[in-house]
Formats: sequence, C-alpha cells, structure tokens
Amino acid sequence: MLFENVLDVLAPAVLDVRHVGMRYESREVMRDIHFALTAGDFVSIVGPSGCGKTTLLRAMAGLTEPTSGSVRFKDREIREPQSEVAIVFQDYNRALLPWRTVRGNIALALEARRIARSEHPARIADLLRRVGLTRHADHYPAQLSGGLQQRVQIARALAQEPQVLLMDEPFGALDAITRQRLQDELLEIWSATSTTMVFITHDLEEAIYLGNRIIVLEANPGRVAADIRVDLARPRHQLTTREDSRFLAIRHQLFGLLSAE
Amino acid sequence: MRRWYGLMFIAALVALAELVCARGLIWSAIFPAPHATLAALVSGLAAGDLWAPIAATLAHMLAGWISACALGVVLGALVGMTAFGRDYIAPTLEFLRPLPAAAIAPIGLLLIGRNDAMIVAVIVFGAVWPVLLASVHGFASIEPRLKEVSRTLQLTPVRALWAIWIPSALPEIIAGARISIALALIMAVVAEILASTGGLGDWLNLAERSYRTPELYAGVLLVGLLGVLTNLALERVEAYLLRWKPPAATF
Repeated sequence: MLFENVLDVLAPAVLDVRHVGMRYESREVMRDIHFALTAGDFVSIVGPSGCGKTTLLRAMAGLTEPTSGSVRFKDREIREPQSEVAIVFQDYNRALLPWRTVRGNIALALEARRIARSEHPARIADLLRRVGLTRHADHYPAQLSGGLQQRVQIARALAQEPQVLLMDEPFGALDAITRQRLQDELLEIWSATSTTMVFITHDLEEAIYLGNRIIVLEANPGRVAADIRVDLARPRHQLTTREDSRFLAIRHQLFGLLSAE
Repeated sequence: MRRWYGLMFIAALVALAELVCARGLIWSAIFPAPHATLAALVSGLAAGDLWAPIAATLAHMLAGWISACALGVVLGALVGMTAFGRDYIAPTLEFLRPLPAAAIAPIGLLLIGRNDAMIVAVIVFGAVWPVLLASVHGFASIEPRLKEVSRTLQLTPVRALWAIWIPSALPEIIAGARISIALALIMAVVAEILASTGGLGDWLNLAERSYRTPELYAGVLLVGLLGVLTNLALERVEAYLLRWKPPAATF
C-alpha cells in the first residue's frame, strides 16, 4: 500500500475518468469507463467503431458532459473545456480557420490566452519550427496538403501549452507515408515536453507504436476491455520497433481482444 | 479577343440607333440620336451642371447602402445566431420584406419630409433585404466544428465574434451587399424623383418635364454608369477580402 502511495506522489493522476457513462435517450453509448492518466504518459485508446471513443474524448475535453460519472482534471471536475486540456480533431479541414494563414491560425490560441502581441512572432516561429511548418507560415490552409494542415492544428493545440493533449484519430485521413512521418514528429514533440497525450486511433499498430499504455474499448455499450502496458524502447523506430517480438505480441493480444466479438 | 465582343455589340446598337435617327424614322423629341445624348452629357459635365446631381446621387446611394449593410449585418447576426432573434425579430422581418420600398416612400415623405434623410431612409428600406437575408444565412451556417474550437480555446464572446463568426459569414454578407448596392442605386433614383431636392433622379424628372430629351438620356446613361462602376469596385473589394478562398475550379 505504501508503495502505491509513493508512486502516486511521483506520478500523480492528471486526468481522472471516473465511472463515466453516457446515454442518448434509450441508447447506452458508454458504461462505467474508469481509468486515470498519469502526468507525462502517452495513452492510446483503440476500439471498434461504436465503442464511444470519440464521445469519451469529448467528455475528457469538456465538450460533452457524461450522463453518469465524472471527468476530473487534477482536483476539479471538467464540465466545460479547460485551458490546460487541448484537443486535436480528425477533420483538420473543418477545424482550421480558412481565412487565416498558418501563422494566424496558431495566433488564435495565443490571442485566446491574452498573450501580448509583441510576443507572438517569437512564439509562433518556435511552434512553426517544432511542427516543421516554417516555410508555410504565410500560406492559407486551402493551399496546404492534409498532413501540413494537421500540423497546423497540432501547433495551435501546442500554443495553448496544455498539460493534456487529446487527439481524435488525428492521422486517420492521411496517407501511410505522411502518417508515419507525423507519428515520429509527434513522439519528438512529446519527448521534448511533459504533455500528457491521449491518442485515439482505430489502427492497432499506430496505437502500439506511439503509446506507453493502450486502453482497449469494446462496443455496445462502450466499456474498457483491457488496459495494456507497452514496454518498448524509446526512441521508437518505424522498422525495428514494429519488428520487435514484444510489439508483435501486443498486436496479437489486441487483435484477439477486438475480434472476439 | 472574345472579351471585346460585348463592346462591339453595343457599338453596333449605337450605330443602328444613329442610322434610325438620321433617317428620321423616330421623332427626336422622344428618342434623340446617340450623338445628341453624348453632346448633352459632355456639355453638362463641362459646364458643371451634372456634377452636383452625380455627387448627390452617389452620396445618397452610399449613405443608404452603408446604413443598410450595418443594419442588415447586425439584425442578421441576431437572427442567425440567437434564439431571441429567431423568435422575436424574424417574424416582423418576414412581414416587412414583401412590402415594395416604393410603397414606403410616401410614408417617408410624410414622416420625414422632402430631404436627404427621407431619401436615405427609403434606400435603407429597399436595399437592406439582400444583405440581411445573406447575413442571417451566413451566421446561421457556421461550421459547427469551429464553434467547438472556439469553446476549447475559451475565446471570449467578443473575440469569437471577430475571429470566427464574422469572417465565417463574410462571403455571404459580401454577396448580399453586392445585390444591395444595385438596389440602393434604384431606390436612390426613385426617392430623388419623389423628393425633387436634387440628384440624378431629380435631374431626370426635370429633363423629362421640359422635353430636354438628350439631357434625360444623358442622365440615364450616368445612372447606368454609376451602377457598373460601383459593381466593379465591389468586385475588387470582394476579391481582396476573400483572397483566402481556394479557386472553385480546382474541384
């Protein structure tokens, strides 16, 4: 018991999902989902369609309120979006302001935080460099490829300097090569900050490749089927990590869990 | 080359009119030869008689149009964004909309009198509808995802309005404003005819009554020219404000 308490102090829960359930009229979307996120962790959430992945993430972001249970950020209950919790949506083409350049889209988050205009250029330059968009600072979203647009959304979320970054299948609409490149960039960003990452995906390999921990949901209603630790060495490598026997073992386990239904 | 075809067609029509008048096929007191109209236009501009009516009409039209746009965008935002506007304001607007503005003009004369304020009021009543309806639709059809972006960034209502709602509605507002400016010119001329206190409408009215036909046609030509020029100017403004829009042809 004492040992557990020590662990709690060393790595306190930053986001606490407590017995969360959700109903729309007679349909139960989620039932009793319960887990806590440790600060600095990278958690992947996988599950079949209809398991309420997106609903869960929206509840964690404060965009929807669960019908039972609660989500807590540190010591307060989340009912509305919090400045410390950022979200990256899958549909970058609808989540960016088409009338603002890349620079302007990132500036929106700084404006929201009331950061002095004089500080914007330096901060934006830094964010652009971190997501590899320096050359595209003055382009409008419509002039950019999907991968570049999603980088803009990630940069805007980072500009919030969040403690938790929630991502809803952010690379789901991108081609395989772009997706792998963005996975590695995301891991670099994560290791350079202490941001807690929550990454929803339906791609099992992506979940293992990125995460320290995988929460597997099952559907009808959505509930936690398994909570798996990923003990793969970092930095991860697109070829060798994916060939690691532990990687393959987890892949087998996930495949078994998700095809059981 | 193709772009000149339209102008060549106009030139042909003018030449035809010139021919018809030269042959005496039409009574010149009703339809003057184009060269007579042009002469009246040039002498009116040279002598300075025409500048005051042009300036007056332009001022009426712009004052009315700008007021109509301001009113239309504010009301449009209320109706498009808020339940209050939808429930309380929209029904009144639905009732007023089918009223022809020309029918309102005599009420304007009665309430306000024969002056510029009455002219501007009539223009506003006639020209507000396109920009109003476009604004309602523009504000109501905002991308729902952007509302969530606004919530997650915790933008203040004022900042959200300027950063998200207004730019999002802007393409439709501009499209409405372009139709409104054409209506503003029509209403300016109608109201000036009624008020007889100056402007191109008044000029047309006086020229018609005294059978100064070339001057009448010169005035009509000027009104048309004002319409073409304001439309061109707004086209440029639109292209600048909406420069972020991807060219539609890429689909």
